[in-house]
Amino acid sequence: MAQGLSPAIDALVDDLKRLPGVGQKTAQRMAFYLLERDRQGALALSASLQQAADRVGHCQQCRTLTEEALCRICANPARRESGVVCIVETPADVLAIEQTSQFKGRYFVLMGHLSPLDGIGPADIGLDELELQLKQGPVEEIILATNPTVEGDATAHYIADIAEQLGINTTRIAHGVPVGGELGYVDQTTLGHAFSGRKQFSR
Amino acid sequence: MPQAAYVLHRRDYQESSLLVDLLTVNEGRVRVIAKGAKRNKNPWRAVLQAFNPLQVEYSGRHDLKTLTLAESPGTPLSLSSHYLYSGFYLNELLQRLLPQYAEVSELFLAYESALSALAKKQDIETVLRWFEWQLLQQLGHAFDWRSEAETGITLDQQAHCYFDPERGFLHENPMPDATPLDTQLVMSLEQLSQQPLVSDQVLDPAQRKLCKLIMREALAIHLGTKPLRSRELFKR
Repeated sequence: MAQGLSPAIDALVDDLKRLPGVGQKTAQRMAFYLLERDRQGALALSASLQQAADRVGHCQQCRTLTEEALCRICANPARRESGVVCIVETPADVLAIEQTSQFKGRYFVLMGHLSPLDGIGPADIGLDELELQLKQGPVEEIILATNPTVEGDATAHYIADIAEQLGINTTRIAHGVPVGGELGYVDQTTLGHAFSGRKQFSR
Repeated sequence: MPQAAYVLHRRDYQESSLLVDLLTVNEGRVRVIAKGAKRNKNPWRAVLQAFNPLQVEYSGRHDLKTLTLAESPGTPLSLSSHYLYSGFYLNELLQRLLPQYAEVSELFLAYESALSALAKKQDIETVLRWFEWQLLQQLGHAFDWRSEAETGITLDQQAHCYFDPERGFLHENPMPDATPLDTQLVMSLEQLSQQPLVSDQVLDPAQRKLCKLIMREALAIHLGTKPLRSRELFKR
């Protein structure tokens, strides 16, 4: 979009607009901030962008984003040999689960979910690769942590079918009421899941 | 006035909205924008899921409407595994074959009854073949299970017949490579015409095999060359 200031600034603004949630105004603000007040930061940003875009690829084992052949989690022998694989849709889900520090196994990142109406089939989310890995390595348990959407459910069922054929125990993370929430405001489906998946209350 | 609807498909639209294709009881397939539906606290995020019976209202003068109300008064149907994939198959068929704003209230009822049959774990193939036939009828592509397409005379049960997807059943072979079909079995498939789908209706293995073949050919001429992706899920 020609703004008329200068070709270099226009190009910068246009490229910033690629970012999610960034429109014309925000992109302009970012561009002027970098140019007026933080040239050093601008250079650092461009260098790290360059580096990340050049080097970051996918982990050979779990498909998450990394610049190594194996990501840090897959490279950790304790986690690799734990025999537990957690299946998630995106690298952001890996970070979210890592922050709970509850999980000591490794991950498999689908980079999406099954969605036949969008033309996304099993091969597009690496399920053939997952099946291969499950056949090779000793895996005792699969934890399904796909999103609680219809597509996430379909993906979970499909993977559970694979695991069943291979005789691998499959669990799915519980759906429940958020901490600090009020029951009256929770949607019925979540509340229904929370009820059907209730646990023994231990004192 | 709110009307009954189901979500056929949804996709992200801009930062926080969804573009949703609905099957509504009064207006058929309608595309709406659900503004803000992706925001964390928005109840639409949970409500606007496929196979969830909805009450909706929308407004707007153009083809793309703005959703103004969406509630789910009942409990969502719980579909699992192959029953869930079948649900996607129904949705994909409707997305591909049903034009927007075609008035098809009977098709809505057929969809609803097929979904609830799947939720009750009725025989998948019977449900899918029944729905495919209802869809073909509603779209005006139906053929006659009992009469010869050329002459209009009742099919001769002693002779073989051949299927021509554009016309129906013929005793004369229309193409050199057409498969001869068992006429008695063909005529028995007329049971697919009944509405609604009853719970004890189950096609036997021979009927299923034949019906699948016929429906594939009948749908193929309307689907074009792009394959239905939800069929991949059944391959396991």
